[in-house]
Amino acid sequence: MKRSASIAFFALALAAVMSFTALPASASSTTYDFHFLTTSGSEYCDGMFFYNYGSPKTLVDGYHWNTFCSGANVDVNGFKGSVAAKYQYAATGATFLISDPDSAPTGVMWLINPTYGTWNYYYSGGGAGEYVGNEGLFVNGEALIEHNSKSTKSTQSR
Amino acid sequence: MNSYSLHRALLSSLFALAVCVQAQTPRPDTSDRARRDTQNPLLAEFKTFSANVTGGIARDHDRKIYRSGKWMRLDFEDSYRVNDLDTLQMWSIGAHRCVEFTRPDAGSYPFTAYHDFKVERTATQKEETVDGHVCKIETLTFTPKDDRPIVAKMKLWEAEDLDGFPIRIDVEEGGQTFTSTYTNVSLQAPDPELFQHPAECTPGLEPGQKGVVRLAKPAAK
Repeated sequence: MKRSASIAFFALALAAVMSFTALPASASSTTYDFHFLTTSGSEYCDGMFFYNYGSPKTLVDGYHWNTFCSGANVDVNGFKGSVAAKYQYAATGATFLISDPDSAPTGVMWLINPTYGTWNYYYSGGGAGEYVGNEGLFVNGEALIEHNSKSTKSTQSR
Repeated sequence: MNSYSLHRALLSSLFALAVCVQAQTPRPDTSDRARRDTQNPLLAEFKTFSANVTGGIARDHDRKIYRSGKWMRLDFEDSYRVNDLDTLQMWSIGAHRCVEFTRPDAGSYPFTAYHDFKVERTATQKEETVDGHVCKIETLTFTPKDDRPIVAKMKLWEAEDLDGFPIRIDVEEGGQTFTSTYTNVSLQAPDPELFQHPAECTPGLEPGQKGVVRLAKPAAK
């Protein structure tokens, strides 16, 4: 009995270690956590938290926090890929393409460029052509972020 | 000439006169009506106005909007955007930079929607009062000229005291309805300077410049 308990404990410990190594936040992943900023650097109330991970390192998973300044988070995911500069905000090259299910009555796709520190997003036009939602800057990891606080700063959600 | 011949001549003259008068009476131009029935009124009419828009696909709230001909401007906290309603290009102009996009701003919806679609207009006899304005109701159906399986239905509340300006627009598409309402509507032509934008935007940020924006960190406890 004592031996079987040891084996069970070892198995549980091994499972715990395995599950930790399977998390996106492994040594090879990069964490992003930032406020959205306006084009001149003013802070919006909401932001994005996500991991960039995988091999190739093009997977993205996380959440849009304090969406609509409501205190609520909404899960988002996507990929890192190349998008023409003309569709990005003041940036070029590889960008994060992140689908956000809860930002509008219609679909939203974020383009978040980690090299240039810029973001913009598009609303779906339902097959009739997309619309530019907003654009701005971000600085990863420079702010002490309380994700769920209802900010008293800008309450603009666009 | 006997009385019968005289009577016949008189009748003939009256008939000829009637035909002549009818020929000179201007007929309603059916081609104008047909053109109107197949034109998107959001593009063909209401060419100068300013208002505050709420709703739409971007869930805007009281955002200032201006139109002058093919130009449509929307104001933001620290920037503004100018849309070209013909090409659907958009310039976002802020204090630090200008960026040109190939797609319009969401606040321009539905004025920039369904440009390449066929439209059928149906005036209804219904009237409703919206925000104190007596409105006639018009419905429009947009279908693509290609084989995209999309049908969008638009309902306009056209304010009689604002020359038919649609102070509320509902767009039903794909099982969703987007409502845009317009308040503080003025049909005066906005100042042309509002629509100024650089012909070509200057280059934006450079890689590595992302640190130029610094957030003030809270003081250590």
